Amino acid sequence: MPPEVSLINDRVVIWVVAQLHLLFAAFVLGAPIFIVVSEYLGMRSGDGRYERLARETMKIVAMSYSLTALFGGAMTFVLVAKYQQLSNFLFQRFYPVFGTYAILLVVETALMYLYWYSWDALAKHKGVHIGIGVALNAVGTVVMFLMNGVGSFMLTPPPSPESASLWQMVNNATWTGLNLHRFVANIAFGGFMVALFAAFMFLTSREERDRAFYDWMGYIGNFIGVGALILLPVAGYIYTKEIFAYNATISTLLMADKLAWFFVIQGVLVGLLFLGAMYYMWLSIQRVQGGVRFHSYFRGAFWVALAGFVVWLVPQNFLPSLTAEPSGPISEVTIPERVIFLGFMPAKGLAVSAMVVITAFVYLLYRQAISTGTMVWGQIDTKAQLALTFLPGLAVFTMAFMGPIREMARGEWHIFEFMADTTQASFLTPLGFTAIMAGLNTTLFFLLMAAVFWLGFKVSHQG
Amino acid sequence: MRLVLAFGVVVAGIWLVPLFLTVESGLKFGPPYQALFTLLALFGGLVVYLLRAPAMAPPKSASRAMAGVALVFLVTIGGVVLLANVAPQFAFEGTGEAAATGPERGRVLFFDVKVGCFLCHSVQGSGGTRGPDLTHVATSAGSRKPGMSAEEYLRESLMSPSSFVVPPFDNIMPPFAQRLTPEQVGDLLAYLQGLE
Ligand code: HEC
Repeated sequence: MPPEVSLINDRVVIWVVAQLHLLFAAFVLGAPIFIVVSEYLGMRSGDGRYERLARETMKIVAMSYSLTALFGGAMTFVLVAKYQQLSNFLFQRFYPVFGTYAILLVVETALMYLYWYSWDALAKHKGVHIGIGVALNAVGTVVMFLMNGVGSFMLTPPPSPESASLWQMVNNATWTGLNLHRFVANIAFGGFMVALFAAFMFLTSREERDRAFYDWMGYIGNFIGVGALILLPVAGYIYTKEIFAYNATISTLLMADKLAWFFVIQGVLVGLLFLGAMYYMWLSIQRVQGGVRFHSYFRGAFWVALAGFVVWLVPQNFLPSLTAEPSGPISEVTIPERVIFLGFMPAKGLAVSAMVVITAFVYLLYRQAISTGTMVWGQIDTKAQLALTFLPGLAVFTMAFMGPIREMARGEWHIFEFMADTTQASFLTPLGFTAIMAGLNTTLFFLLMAAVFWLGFKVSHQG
Repeated sequence: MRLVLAFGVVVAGIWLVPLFLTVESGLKFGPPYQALFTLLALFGGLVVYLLRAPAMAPPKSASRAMAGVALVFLVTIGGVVLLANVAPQFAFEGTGEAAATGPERGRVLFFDVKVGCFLCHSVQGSGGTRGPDLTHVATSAGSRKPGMSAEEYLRESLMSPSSFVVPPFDNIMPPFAQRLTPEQVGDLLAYLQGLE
């Protein structure tokens, strides 16, 4: 922090409350999507595990819902108190959007509690219950799209925001990209949180039956998480394309200037997510009878993924910004001439694609192995459960780290090239500091989630 | 054992080969790259090790399980945070006011109480009425005084307002030549010129 700004400033406060709000929101929006699917599968197949998965996950959603609202309220409070110029403008210009948002939020809350509390009452009318769940998801998605309109507007407003129509402001250059990216990311996020919950329950359960169930639940959570994760780079690509088409200053800041190294770290994070997911599948396949015959494929896949990881991470230079002066000879901190292509987009794109394709391949192999061999649920290497905690930890951190990148893409603006951020703590935060903030937010989120798991499933069962 | 050996060979290669290369070869990686590659080699070794590691028994108690989970979390997040802190860093710099562009700073000045333009002028509905509405001043400024460009006219309006008094207004605008720094004048002009 620069000397004239205190460590706990408006910026840091809004950062924490907004991030916690978004993390909980991602979970309560993403999880119900597959909760309903799971309930439906349970009804169709008669397999009680789907029903139990849906129900236990929904219990966590119901408990997290109030935390989402709590941090949302705190965020609004800080915005209004400390960022008046911005909040005045947004509330005035987006008045109908915020109005609709408020009404739909009430509807969503009502549907959420209805869905949760009518579970037993509607046991005989599964169709109706599932219908409520579908409505809950529909409203939740619209609520998110509305706020994405405001959020994306701040980065890519239409020309002359004072006089643009409401629709032009909402349907701005990156609304679609942000909607798509968040929708897919929320599902991945929800899936990994289910995996975390299952690992937590698996590791702390004594009963053989429970362990078998939570082992299976972790498998499903990972299955959802990885499935969405594979799609995520595509959504991310569309989103960044939209940003770049909107304004070249932003793309320079992101890709060549101060935020370029943020993307190297982002590469580490996403690469580790892919590798971690593959590792879970590798461990999981060990207990499948006849799984051994897949081993050599898996090993090969790991090598390809590692190679992709290396190419992805080779940076063009070791300079923190476009104008930074190297302390030694420039040749030592920039990529050698003959391999310069490794630092450019085509090589990176290829590397990412290789990782995505290979993970998808492993995923299919894994499905194949499970459907052809017999699986003993509940007997799994403990490392696999630890992998299931590694993945959500990383997924949350990745979100908490990429959010600030998106915010900082605006540079010194609240609303890009329209309303400057003239508050005292307005600056791009260096990589290290940003990562510390993301780590702090991730830890807070995990502590709160652990409390939810504990209160909801351990304490209440003992009583 | 074989793993350690392979790792040693790779790391030796990373550090020794560039000694025999010149910068002109276009293949010589500098020390930060060598450090990165070493880290990646270490990571690769870890992956190979993990793929072969024997199965781990279930934890003996719930608290041990939780300790394991906490450890994985700390190592993962701590590791990434550490990595982000050893990567190249730019310095914290500039508050928003310093970093904003001319027209934007000009707008802030315009609505700043100490400068006070908005007390007499309004732009798009906000501000006072003792002076002319400036919403479209950039358009009208060019034709106020024959032979004077919009920029010259606007500068003159700030520096010596009484040299041209817009009817039907009174000659009450104070000259700002002494009150503003040249940078502030520049920012204000940049802002006014954008009001078309
Ligand atoms: C005390 C009231 C007052 C203040 C404060 C004031 N003005 Fe004025 N301004 C006037 C009046 C009255 C006129 C019209 C008469 C004249 O041209 O002198 C005018 C004229 C102008 C014009 C010419 C407008 C035209 O249509 O040709 C410009 C430009 C202008 N002011 C800019 C500014 C700026 C910028 C500031 C702040 C740095 C400012 N004024 C502060 C009262 C004020």
